[in-house]
Amino acid sequence: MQCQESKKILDAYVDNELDLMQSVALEGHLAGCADCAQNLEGRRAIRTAVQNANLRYTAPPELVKGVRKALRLPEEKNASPKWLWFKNAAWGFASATAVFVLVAAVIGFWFHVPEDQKIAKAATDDYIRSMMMENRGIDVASSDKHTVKPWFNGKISFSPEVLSFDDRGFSLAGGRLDFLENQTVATLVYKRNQHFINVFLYPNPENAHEGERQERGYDIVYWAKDGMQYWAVSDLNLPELQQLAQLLGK
Amino acid sequence: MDHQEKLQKFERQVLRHLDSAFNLARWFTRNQDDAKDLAQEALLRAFKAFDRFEGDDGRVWLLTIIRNLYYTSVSRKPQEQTVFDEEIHSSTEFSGSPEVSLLRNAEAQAVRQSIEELAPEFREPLVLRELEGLSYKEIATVMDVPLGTVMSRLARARDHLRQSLIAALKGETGQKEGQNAVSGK
Repeated sequence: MQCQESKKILDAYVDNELDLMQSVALEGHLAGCADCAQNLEGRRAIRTAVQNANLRYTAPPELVKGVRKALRLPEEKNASPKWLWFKNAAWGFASATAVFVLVAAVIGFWFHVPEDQKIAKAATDDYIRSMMMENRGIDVASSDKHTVKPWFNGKISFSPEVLSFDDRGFSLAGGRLDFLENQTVATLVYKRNQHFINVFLYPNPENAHEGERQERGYDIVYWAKDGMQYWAVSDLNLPELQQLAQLLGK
Repeated sequence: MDHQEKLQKFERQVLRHLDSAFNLARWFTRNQDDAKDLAQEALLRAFKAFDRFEGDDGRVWLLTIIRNLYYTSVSRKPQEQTVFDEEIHSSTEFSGSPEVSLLRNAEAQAVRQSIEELAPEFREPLVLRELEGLSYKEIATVMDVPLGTVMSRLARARDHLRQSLIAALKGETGQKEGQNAVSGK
């Protein structure tokens, strides 16, 4: 590979957008070309500068309010007339019966919901709640696994494996405790670009769960390894979430 | 789809990306009030057009609406694309590691200002990549350009950013130079 070609794909390399073949070819060139290697360092430095500067704006509260208000306006119109049916007692009784049957069916269905779906739902609830909390619900904020791991000592009955993957684009943001499947679990928080990933883990699951599912637009990847059960939840896209799962030993 | 159902679906797929929409609008307009107006207008248009939305990525869809609305509302056209497509990206060399450490320790304010001074066609992919974490493919969809253009624009955006940051950080009055380079005039 020549310098000119290397320069063209250097940014894509920094952005993890090259395929394996191109990456290998570029790395081969970088190993022997000080100029391009220096250029790469410069590009990484710019990325770091931009990301450290915390430049993302968030919607101000009055905008959130304004949009919601505007969207709900037309909804008032079509509310009442349908309810006139219920003035008719017979209809009322029939409807009540139908509603009762429906509710019973829903409850019956609920008890047949597979367990992993229930836990996935609970994990997603935990994730969404944490995203709305200050500091993303992180109790021990650190990118250092030697800070995060000891924090769990004495708070839970097991010692979670804490790993950081900065070089793969998943940086450790911290940890916290959560409640999942009737027990206290360790939660590791990872960050990739602007996305947060929560990894819930606990030992000796009653039933080991393994798979992937979607819950309200969030992706969940879960697996069991060495007697530990993992649930990873994020608004990240599925392939990247799977990548983290693999790094964690899936 | 009745109204309530549509509203719920819209909230789940599109409205939850309001922060992303506002962020892009804010970087386009460089002004809080204009950004609020732009984002609000985009959301209302998105809702009106939501019946026709068939994709699965509400965020990319919403960002595309923000972009189109911005360029039509200010009756500005995205710059002629050929200028950038055909030009082979020629990045100037980094002059050495002091520059790297200077960049790494750049003040947030200096970085913000340097990005604001970039021409919109460079500012946009940079914001989408670094602040929204979009993939090249997603950026290509939002900007309606080929993948290769995304790559070269990002490369050039970082070149310009580097130049103006270095000028600013060295405390020179080199901003004029950087600006001229950026607007390509």
